[in-house]
Amino acid sequence: MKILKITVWVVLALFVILQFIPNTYPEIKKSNEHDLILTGDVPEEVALILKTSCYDCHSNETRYPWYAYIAPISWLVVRDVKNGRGDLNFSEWDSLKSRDKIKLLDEIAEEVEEGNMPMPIYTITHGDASLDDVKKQILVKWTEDLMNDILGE
Amino acid sequence: MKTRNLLFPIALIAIAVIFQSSILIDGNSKITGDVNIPEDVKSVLDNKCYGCHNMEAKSDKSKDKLLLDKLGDLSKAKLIAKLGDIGEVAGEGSMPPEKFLEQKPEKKLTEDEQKLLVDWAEKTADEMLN
Repeated sequence: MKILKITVWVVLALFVILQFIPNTYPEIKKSNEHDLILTGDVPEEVALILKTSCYDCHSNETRYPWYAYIAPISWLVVRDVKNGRGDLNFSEWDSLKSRDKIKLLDEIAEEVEEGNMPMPIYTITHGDASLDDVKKQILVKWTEDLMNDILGE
Repeated sequence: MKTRNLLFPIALIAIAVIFQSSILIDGNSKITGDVNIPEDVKSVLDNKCYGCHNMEAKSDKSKDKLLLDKLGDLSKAKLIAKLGDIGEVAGEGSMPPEKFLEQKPEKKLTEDEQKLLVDWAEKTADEMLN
């Protein structure tokens, strides 16, 4: 019984100590002049899906939930947002070269079709971010249209 | 005396064989597609990428990512996207994969080859967009 008590206290103490380890959150920027949706190349229903399902990690407009500030979850959140923005940041979209836009659009279609994105660890707590077949189809169709647009076809 | 007389013809045959086989390798490239691939790029792709990225290769994963003998089947958009992928992995040095290089270190891309592939991939994609 004593051992159990000690264990609980140790775990609690560790948990408190974890909170003091510094963690740098990717910055939130509300105004992004190169944002994809501002380009006018995105129908409203697509914009809504992107905002709900992708923008938390793939834009500068991350909405951090309360638990994003509690270690060790905070470390996962910070890592995923950093990686997400690094691979694809819709807030910087219009500053990309055409060839990179096409590459990313092709990747978006693939990730969405295969169900890799949004990541399961994200949709657990963001149920409305899950993509059903209809939404997947809307996104894929949009990537194809935009690629053709860029190619001038 | 006799062996000496034989040296010259043997050397000649050896040179001929080497010469012919190198021509054979060059002439045998199965990389296809509606895309301009200069000889130096083609030779890097043939020697260091084609082994896993062709229809007859063993690994489904590498075939899934890129088929150098089926570039011709790709739409313009897909081709540009593939060029982007090639440029990316060549630039990072993430291909050929490390595990593979443990067995065949000679397949590692040299820095010059990395640059050659990246420059070619970017330039070709840009040309297709103009």
